[in-house]
Amino acid sequence: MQDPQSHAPAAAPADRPAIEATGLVKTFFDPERGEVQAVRGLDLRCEYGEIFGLLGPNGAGKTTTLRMLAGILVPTDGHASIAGVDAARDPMGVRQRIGFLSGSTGLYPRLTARETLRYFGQLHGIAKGPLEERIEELVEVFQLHEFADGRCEALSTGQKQRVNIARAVVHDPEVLILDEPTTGLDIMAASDMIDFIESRRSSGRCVLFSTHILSEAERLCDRIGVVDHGRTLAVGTLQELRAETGQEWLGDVFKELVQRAAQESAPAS
Amino acid sequence: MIRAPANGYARHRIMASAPSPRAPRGWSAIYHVAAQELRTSLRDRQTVVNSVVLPIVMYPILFWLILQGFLVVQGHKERTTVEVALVGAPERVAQVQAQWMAELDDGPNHTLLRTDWWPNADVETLRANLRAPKASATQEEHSADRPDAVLRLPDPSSDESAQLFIESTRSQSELAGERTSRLVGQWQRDLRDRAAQEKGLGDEDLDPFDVTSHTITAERDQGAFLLSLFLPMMIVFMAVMGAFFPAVDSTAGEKERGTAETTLLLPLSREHVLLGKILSTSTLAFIATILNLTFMGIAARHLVGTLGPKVPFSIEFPFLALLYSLPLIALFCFFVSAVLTALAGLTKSFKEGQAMLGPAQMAFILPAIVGIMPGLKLSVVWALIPVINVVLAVRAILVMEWLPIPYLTTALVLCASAWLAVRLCVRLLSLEALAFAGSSMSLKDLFRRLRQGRATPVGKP
Amino acid sequence: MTGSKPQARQQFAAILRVELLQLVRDKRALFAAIVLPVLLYPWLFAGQKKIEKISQESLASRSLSVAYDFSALPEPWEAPIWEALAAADPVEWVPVDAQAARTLEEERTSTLAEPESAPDPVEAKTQRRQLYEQLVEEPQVLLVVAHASRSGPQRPEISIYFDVKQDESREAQSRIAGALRDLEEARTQALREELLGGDPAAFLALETVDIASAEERSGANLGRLLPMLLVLLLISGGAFAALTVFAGEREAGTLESILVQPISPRTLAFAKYTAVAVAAFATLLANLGALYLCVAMGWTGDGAGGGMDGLRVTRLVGALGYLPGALLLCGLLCMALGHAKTFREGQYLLFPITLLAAIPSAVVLQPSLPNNAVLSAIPFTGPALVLRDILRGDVQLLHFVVMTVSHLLWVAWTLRRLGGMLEGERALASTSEARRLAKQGPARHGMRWGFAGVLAFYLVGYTIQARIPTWGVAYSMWGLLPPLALLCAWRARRTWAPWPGEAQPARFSLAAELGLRPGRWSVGLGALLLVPAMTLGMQHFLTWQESLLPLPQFMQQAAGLETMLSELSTVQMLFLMALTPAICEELFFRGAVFSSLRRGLSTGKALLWQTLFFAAAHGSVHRILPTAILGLLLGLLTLRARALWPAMLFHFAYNASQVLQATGELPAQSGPEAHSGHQQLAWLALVGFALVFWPQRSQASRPMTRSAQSSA
Repeated sequence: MQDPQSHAPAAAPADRPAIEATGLVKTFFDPERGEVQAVRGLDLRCEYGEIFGLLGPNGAGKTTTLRMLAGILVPTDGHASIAGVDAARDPMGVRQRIGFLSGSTGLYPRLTARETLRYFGQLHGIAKGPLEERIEELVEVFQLHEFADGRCEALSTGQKQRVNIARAVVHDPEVLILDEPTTGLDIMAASDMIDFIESRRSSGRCVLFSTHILSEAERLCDRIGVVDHGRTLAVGTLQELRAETGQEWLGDVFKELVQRAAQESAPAS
Repeated sequence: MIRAPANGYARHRIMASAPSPRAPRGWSAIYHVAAQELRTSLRDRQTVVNSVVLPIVMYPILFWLILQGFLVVQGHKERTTVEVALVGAPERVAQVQAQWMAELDDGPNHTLLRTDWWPNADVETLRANLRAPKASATQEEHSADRPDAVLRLPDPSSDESAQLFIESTRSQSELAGERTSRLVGQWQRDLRDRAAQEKGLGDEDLDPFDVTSHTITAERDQGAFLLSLFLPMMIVFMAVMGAFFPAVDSTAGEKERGTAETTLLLPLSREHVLLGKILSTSTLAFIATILNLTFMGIAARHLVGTLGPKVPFSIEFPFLALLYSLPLIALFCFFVSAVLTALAGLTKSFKEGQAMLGPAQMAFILPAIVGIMPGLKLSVVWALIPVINVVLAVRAILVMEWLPIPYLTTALVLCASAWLAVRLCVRLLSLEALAFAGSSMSLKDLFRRLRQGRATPVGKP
Repeated sequence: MTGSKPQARQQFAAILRVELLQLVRDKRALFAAIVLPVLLYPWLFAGQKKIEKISQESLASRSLSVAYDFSALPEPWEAPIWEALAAADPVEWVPVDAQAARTLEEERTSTLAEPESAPDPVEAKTQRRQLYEQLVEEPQVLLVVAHASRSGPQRPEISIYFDVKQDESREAQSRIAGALRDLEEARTQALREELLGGDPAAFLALETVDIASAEERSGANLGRLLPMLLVLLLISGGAFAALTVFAGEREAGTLESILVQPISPRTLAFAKYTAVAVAAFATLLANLGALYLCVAMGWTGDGAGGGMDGLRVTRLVGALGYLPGALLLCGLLCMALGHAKTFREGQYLLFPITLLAAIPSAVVLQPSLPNNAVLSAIPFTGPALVLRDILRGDVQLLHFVVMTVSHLLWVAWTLRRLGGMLEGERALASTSEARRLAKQGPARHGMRWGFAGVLAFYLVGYTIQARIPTWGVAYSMWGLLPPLALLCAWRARRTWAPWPGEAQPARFSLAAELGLRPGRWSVGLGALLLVPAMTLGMQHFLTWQESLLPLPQFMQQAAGLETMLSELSTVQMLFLMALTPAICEELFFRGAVFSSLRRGLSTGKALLWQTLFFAAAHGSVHRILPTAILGLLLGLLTLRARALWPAMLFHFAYNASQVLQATGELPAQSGPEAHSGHQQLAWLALVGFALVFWPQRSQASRPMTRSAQSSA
């Protein structure tokens, strides 16, 4: 599964990072606990041609962070930009430049795969001619031939996932944000997904994805950001993280970082 | 996506609390399933709001709105000024002017009698004039160039009667007509009284005899009678509404939440599970019906109370009669629940379930409307038709009629049709394709399979 | 590819197309919502016709048996009465025992003659019923007894006894009373000829000539049922669409994918709204078409619509004038169902929405209610009245314009709300739900209690007041409001937090919660100075309101104030009407409820809600505006004073001035001589206003966040 990026190598000046976030804070209110800080001061920087993994347990604030980057949620504090476009100030501009896919994004059950792709292409304002070409291309690449004209509700999970990915890249975005993309997928579908993510790197685009599956992060990521309780605990390549913590396996690296953070915050409060 | 975890947890607990290797059988199994379903429903905020809070809050607000709306409309109607042209024989017009118009002018009637419109026009001209100036009717309130009604008084020499020209499709004109008729009625009485007084005659001399009607019905029965005109239909509505959501929730909703499979794995027979579900649905429907009835009664009594002594009638609420009809209502709730649960069992999601039950509701509501038609009376023949029989039976019970055989027939017919619905439902649910979560089938498919017979029953212990 | 800027219009078209496509492809729902009802019409009408026939025939042709005792009927009357009664056939006449019948009759007339010595009416009625049941056995459902009148032996009095709850009995009563009425009419006319030489009022016998055309009349008939029918049809079609388009998308998870596309929420909202509207109209047209077909084919009974002769299609097309109302209904559906996270949740909302739209439409059941500009602007009432007038050919351009403009404004408002709802922040359910709940934690407490208080006061309070005429006000107020206020304030402990913008001790205190604090004296003084101006202003306001929202006459007469004035002394009146409400109402509305509301809502919203509760508690649409004005002012006073007592003082003084005016101890200020005092009043009010609203030194008000508190 190779996404066709023949049209344009991401026209991005090297001096501008693909994703940049500084001091992101998001505060929610909870009926029992009052104000809850889902994200408290998170920094992030991803370059073009890089796969960045956001690693953290459930409830670490990964989804919230990604949603803020996608311009769906407005940060309580801090600043996020995609390809130099401020997410809070110009969410439309940001959404034009990103593809977003999460475990909970569904497909319209009563549309066909082709119609779905056409629909999202139209929403991105792609003209009719180029759009049809692009759809054929995507059908080709993601091997949707067999079921491209059947309703989405009749598809298997893996087929749905392929349509969903194609849907997210129909406008060939510079930045792809994936929220736990392999959750709930079978082995075949998950490996398709991983192939796809790798293919993006080679064409100089940026992929940011969150996961709590360690093997995925080990295999794919150029750099990994470990987050817990809404804070970045460490950022770096796998080697750097290993060196920092002195642990061999990513799982142990992760545990070590979390324990450290807990020790630091314990005396403070 | 919001899931309702309560369902799964609650079931878990039941399983845990029944550690005996022998699975519960018969009534005990039905009871356990029903209790579990009830607990789940009553822990669900939406179900509670719909079947408990809504009846309590809705009726006072509803009745308040209706009363206030009525007051606004009434005030507005009273305040509307209408103009009536007085035309015809000059001596008659002068008579009316002299005798009655003075008191009209500054009364609170908002009715203006004017004599300056086409005083000498004949009938045809009047008709033409009244209809002609429609073009200027865009003005607010009343247009000065056209009266709202015309009262034409006949020549004394002729024996014609007075004519009142109105245009019944114009509110102003209709209102003018109503008020003028009332005024003319007063004038008539006034004239006759004066003439009688002149001859020294009393009221009764001109009245050949008296006819008076007296009701011997007790006030409670009068109230019961008034209620019997619409309450039986309301009861059907309430029961159907009350059973609707629980029915969908315990079948299609269960599939949607993914707990249907858990139910299939229980060491219980399909009938028992289904009966349990129907029982819990009918309990909820019954509760909702009773609460609705109670609070509608309270709100209605309160409404009459706030109007105070201005209400010309007094109605007692027939609690006893309602109490007598409770068993029948409970039976009906069970019947409704059985049918609705059976139907909802064919669908896989809440949405489909409600799309399916929407029209099914009509099958109950339309006969209920038929059942309150005046003149119908519960007989053994009527008692054979479900829904209509309940409406007629409750009607009869409310006015305390004692019809043992039709009542019994009604009850039996309800039981029989409920049993039929349960059987059908069990048969349907035993089809493999329907039993498992996430599947539903088209009606065509369904009938085909039913014709084929039992197909492959699943999960029969 | 990413560079091309998507255009809102294209996006709109794309979304609309896809939404409609989805709706059309949902065959089963489509069938249930649209096709099935259309197919049902002919059956419905045919069935109704049939049953109606059965029900009519069964009563009219039923042979009734009537018991009678004519033994006391004067001889010359026998023949004519029997002749007249023949009109009531088929009737079987059964004579009854004269003695017993006379007892029944005497029993009734004696209660009439001496009402003081009469026994308890319920008991008397029971006795009468027993007598009746002795006389009349099962099939004989009616009793006619004649007896000689006290006024003259030749003038019979005929009493008809019947049992309301029995169909046969009512039918027999109406037939016999009708026959006798005809006879009475004829005889009266004969008497007039004989004694007065003719009827002096004969020329006033009215013949009503309706000059409306047949088409207009048919239109009027249709207009009586169409507005309500439209509401139901639009909801049945639109609700299914709105559920699919909003809750369905949430459930399927597609809402999230849409929200990350470069679409403005407004475009999205508008496109979805349009899809719902199209679905609603499709349902409507299909249903109306089926209805028209049934009418045209003559399948309808006389009961449905009451005849639709001569109704041309042009007039039916005119029914499109209802469009603004229909658009608003769709907007309302979208707004309500857009909040729903699941189908299930949305489904529950349908019933209240139906009531909300159908009740205001029910005005069309009053054909003689003239429309006006104010009514035209009321949601659903306006379109219903305009539709009624269009159908009967009596619509006024002004009303149509007012209705259209006002309803389009309403629609714009719903669309704005809808757009706001689809902002990512709010649309993603899990977070928004938590936020909404928490933000309103204390506010919800306030609202719940406010609502409960209003309901309790309305249901319980008014019942007490109806039972105990004079002192009921005091009982209900003292009995209900202070305990409710205390409870509400005490329960607020759990969600307690300092009010925003006010520095206070960081602990819960019941007195402070109820507003029992020293506060600022200048506000209290200012409040007192405002009272005369308020009293005068309210009089003018009430006059103005009466012209806009007139009170029906029977309500004006039943004020009950006169009886109170005659029974109570001035001091008692002051206690009852001024002191009691001042303390009780203030404690509850400005004390407990307002305190809670202020915590979760902005000050403006809190003020508005407590005003609303206060106004609603007064239970009448004619008092809503005056009490709302009063409530708003009292709320402002409490806010400025940081204490309750100035509001109590103002409330007391204001009510007292009204009581004193009613007793005549204070001159009413509505006369022309009062104009001389206006200037002084204005000065007083100005000083009072200044005292109340003079900006105070800020008391080091720092915004407190809960997180800062809780982490400390």
